[in-house]
Amino acid sequence: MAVMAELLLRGWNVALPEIDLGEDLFAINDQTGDLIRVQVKTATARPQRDGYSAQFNVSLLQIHRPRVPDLVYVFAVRSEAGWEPFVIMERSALRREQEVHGVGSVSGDSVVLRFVSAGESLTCSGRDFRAYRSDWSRWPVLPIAFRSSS
Amino acid sequence: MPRIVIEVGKQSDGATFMLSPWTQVLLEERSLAPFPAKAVFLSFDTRKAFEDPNGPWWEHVAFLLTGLTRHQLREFGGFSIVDPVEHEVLIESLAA
Repeated sequence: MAVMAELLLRGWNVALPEIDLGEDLFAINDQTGDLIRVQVKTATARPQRDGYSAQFNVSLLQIHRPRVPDLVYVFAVRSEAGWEPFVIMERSALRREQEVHGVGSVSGDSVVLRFVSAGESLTCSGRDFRAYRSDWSRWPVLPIAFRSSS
Repeated sequence: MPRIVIEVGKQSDGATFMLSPWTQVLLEERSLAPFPAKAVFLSFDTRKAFEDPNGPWWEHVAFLLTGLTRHQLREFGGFSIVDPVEHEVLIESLAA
């Protein structure tokens, strides 16, 4: 719901698939018809000394499959203080992090990602993930005139 | 196997092609990035058309994704098109 609310605030319309076949919602620019498939992953923060850690399971098959429109992952961590800034990654970026930089650990058909946040830092398997924090650039704020009127 | 690897995601209405992560790194290291197209989608009426190994589009997909010429592709040993989900090599171009 928090992700949907942010997308709506940015002027994008949101649709929910009736059946979960790999994505949790669709973000739609009503003016242009642009559609972005979104997979939301949630985890509860485990408090650390200066921050938190959080763990996510992501399907390897989903990461490996190129598609148009491509999938965008939104990683949401709930801590005692509320939602931490969302970590937003395109599928292709996550694929590259996993394959080239060895991010995560493969477990069966999934890859397990462990985010560690301490102060301003955000890492996953030692890789700096700060660039993905609150990266809403895939959904630029739409001009008022182009927004959904619903 | 050629060093230029193009991954394909099959869909009911066509296919999406993208460079493999390691191919992106390879071309970046040779200062051949940025690439002209991040992804190429080809719409096909039938699945059979897509699976035709003699289809005339494979090389064009490689041109669009890499920005390389035919000669440069050959210097890399050609290219292959793989299905990363099925772990299947669909096309392997000739390097000669």
